[in-house]
Amino acid sequence: MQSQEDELREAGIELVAISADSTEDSKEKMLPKGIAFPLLADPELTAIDAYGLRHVGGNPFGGDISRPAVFLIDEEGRIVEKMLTENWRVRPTPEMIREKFSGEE
Amino acid sequence: MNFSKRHACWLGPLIGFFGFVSYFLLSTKFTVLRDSAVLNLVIVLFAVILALSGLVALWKRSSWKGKSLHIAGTFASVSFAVMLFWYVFDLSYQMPGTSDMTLALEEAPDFSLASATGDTVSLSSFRGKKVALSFYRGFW
Repeated sequence: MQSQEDELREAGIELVAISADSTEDSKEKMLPKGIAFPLLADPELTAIDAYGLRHVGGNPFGGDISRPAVFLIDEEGRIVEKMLTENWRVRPTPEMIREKFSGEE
Repeated sequence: MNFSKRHACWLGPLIGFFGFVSYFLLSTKFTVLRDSAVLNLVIVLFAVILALSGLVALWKRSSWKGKSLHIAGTFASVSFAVMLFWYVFDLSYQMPGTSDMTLALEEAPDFSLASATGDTVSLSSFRGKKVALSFYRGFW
């Protein structure tokens, strides 16, 4: 994930990640991997709900989590692309994100 | 055929196990292998064929005692294959459909959340920059 962020940063794109994990979980599991972009904790699912992404019972150990999704947001705060998936194995790559953004210009 | 008669009963499950586990440990790190899962599906199918070939090779000539090991090996190989196919083609689709709310969004809703490093980060602080906002399932 970090090398993907480097790729985006070079293209002038900031990566921000959000999950329903607590800050403690993210700190323990992600920071040791050398991640430099913000990993935001949304245990109350407020942002996840604001984007309509709640997956009720999505956590096999109980509880709700976020559907995977990537939103590309321009300098004015408009959503220029929603990269949604119906299969959580399949996620967009940095190349796809860069291409979508450059298509906007 | 001698080789498969002797070794398929344990090689099959071993290769099947490797094919299943390596999807999650290795293939998910590479976009193509993760998205298509084709390499791991081939490995687990190969394991089934191998185990089955061993079973077929000695079916007529061996005692039930000799067969039982190969039957178990074939069963184990098939299990790994079924689990991987199930994950790839069914389980990973087990999500509710995209909500109308998500589809209707135009402006990015603002939020303020705590980051893993302890700062509070709001989306509005990225005004003037391009942002890729990635929601992920997490680590449960």
